[in-house]
Amino acid sequence: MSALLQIEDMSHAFGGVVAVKDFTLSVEEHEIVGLIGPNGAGKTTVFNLITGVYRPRQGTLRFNGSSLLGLPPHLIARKGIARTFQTIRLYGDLSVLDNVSLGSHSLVTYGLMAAILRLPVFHRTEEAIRKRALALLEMFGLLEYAGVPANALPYGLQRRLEMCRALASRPRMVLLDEPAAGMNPREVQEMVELIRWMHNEFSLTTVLIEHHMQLVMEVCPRILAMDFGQVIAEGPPEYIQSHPRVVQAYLGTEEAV
Amino acid sequence: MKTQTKFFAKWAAFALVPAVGVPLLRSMGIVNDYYHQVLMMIGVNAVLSVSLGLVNGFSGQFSLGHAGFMGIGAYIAAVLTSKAAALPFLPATIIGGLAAGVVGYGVGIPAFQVRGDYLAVITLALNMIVVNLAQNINYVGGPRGFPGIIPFTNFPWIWLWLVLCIVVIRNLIFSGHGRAIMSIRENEVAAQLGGIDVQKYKLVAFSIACFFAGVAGSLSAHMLQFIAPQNFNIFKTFDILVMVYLGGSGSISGCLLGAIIWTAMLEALRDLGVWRLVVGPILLIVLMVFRQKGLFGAREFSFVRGEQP
Repeated sequence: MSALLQIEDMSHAFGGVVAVKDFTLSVEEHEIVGLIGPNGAGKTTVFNLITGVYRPRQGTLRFNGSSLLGLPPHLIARKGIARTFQTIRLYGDLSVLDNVSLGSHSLVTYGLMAAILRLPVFHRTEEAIRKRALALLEMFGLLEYAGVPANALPYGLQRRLEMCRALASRPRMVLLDEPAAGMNPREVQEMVELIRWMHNEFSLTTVLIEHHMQLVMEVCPRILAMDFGQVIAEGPPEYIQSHPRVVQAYLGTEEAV
Repeated sequence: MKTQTKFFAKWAAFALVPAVGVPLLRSMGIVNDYYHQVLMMIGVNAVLSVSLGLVNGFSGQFSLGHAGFMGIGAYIAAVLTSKAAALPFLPATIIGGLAAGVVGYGVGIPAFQVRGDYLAVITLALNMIVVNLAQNINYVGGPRGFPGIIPFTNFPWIWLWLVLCIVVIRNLIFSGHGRAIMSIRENEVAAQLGGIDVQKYKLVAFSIACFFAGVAGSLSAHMLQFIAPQNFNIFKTFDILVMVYLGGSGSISGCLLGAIIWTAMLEALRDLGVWRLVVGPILLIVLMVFRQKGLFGAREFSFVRGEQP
């Protein structure tokens, strides 16, 4: 069986600066993979290449057997890849409910005219979208905030809402970009549980970028370490932790801090 | 169900009472010709500001050429009713609106290909092109203007078009499509990566707005019976922008209110002569300092919003 996500020799440069070089990764269905590395190692660029924000200069990128190269971001998203962002990107002035409803925008199958004329199909579809969004909000413990503008939520809940919105699209794969950034140890532990729960509950395939070693080591059976745009080590947490190049590039600097 | 009936009744009243009431009051002599004229101007301006609010307020793009699209509708409809043909008012107005909408669509395709403020630059350029074209086409009077347009416009026409404009934009905004349009304003990157065809929705919002600008142009041409290129220049665009931001760009009610206040204020300050053009902008500065979101912010009148979740 071929992997759900297959990336081979993908490279990308900004001007003369090589951000990602010969990146190869294949992720099997229902796997959790962690992506670690110091700042500027190219982790987020990998996410941006997968989701179509940047177009890879070289390499192949296949999801579920078909190539993603050259597709605009919204079509890549519709193939079943959802993501969250390093800096939270919610629809701040819209309600929490609207944020999640927008996650399942692919369900808006009625036309513009149906909306303008308020045809029965409009009411039916909107009711279904609303029900699903409310059910998701309940699962994520956000139901009581449904009517609140997203930017009025506290930080931790905004992170949670972003994940909830990502799941509303019924993705097969989620890309989580530093979900525990800026969280205290207790919140990090909650995030570990949330990620695990999500992964199993929605039978996802998850790729995770994270700086919190504890979280990555706990959640991901397989980890890729990057530095200067290249994969420097790949393997289970114990292997990564003791790998000399990783220690040098990443954990070493952490100790120094 | 009962609330729905009540809601519908409110809308019917909103649509019909002024359409019947204003002509009635006028025939009774309670509303004199001057006030009647002001009411009509408010109506036309409201169509312009509510439609521009869809682009600048809800989709978060910045159009700087609304008067240009108004001009397209005005000239085309006027030619169709009063010069090249003797078309009835309604089809001429629709054709004028469609022409403006199609031009808007055509301009939008390259403008929305890239993120950023390109729409502002391109629409500004288009506005100048429209004015210059009108000045140089002798058939429509060139710089002297286009006189003798049949005075088809009356208050009910304006009011019904305004109600249509509000209903269309309201029903669009409070739908899944409208959510997508607002998501562009809120966070374009997230919208795109969330599976929303950002370019399509920008085009939808912009084309609909241009259509109604064209309609407003036709209404105004058949009201004033005379149009000239300078009626549609960048100053008219600024006027509409002021109405939108005065009332509150993220709200249909706000745009409506902005048109009413701004139009009425310019009339009330007529005695000040040129000075009214100073008072207005000062008011705007004060408003932007103390209430950036406009008078209404993002709120809506209850009858506009209705039973939304």
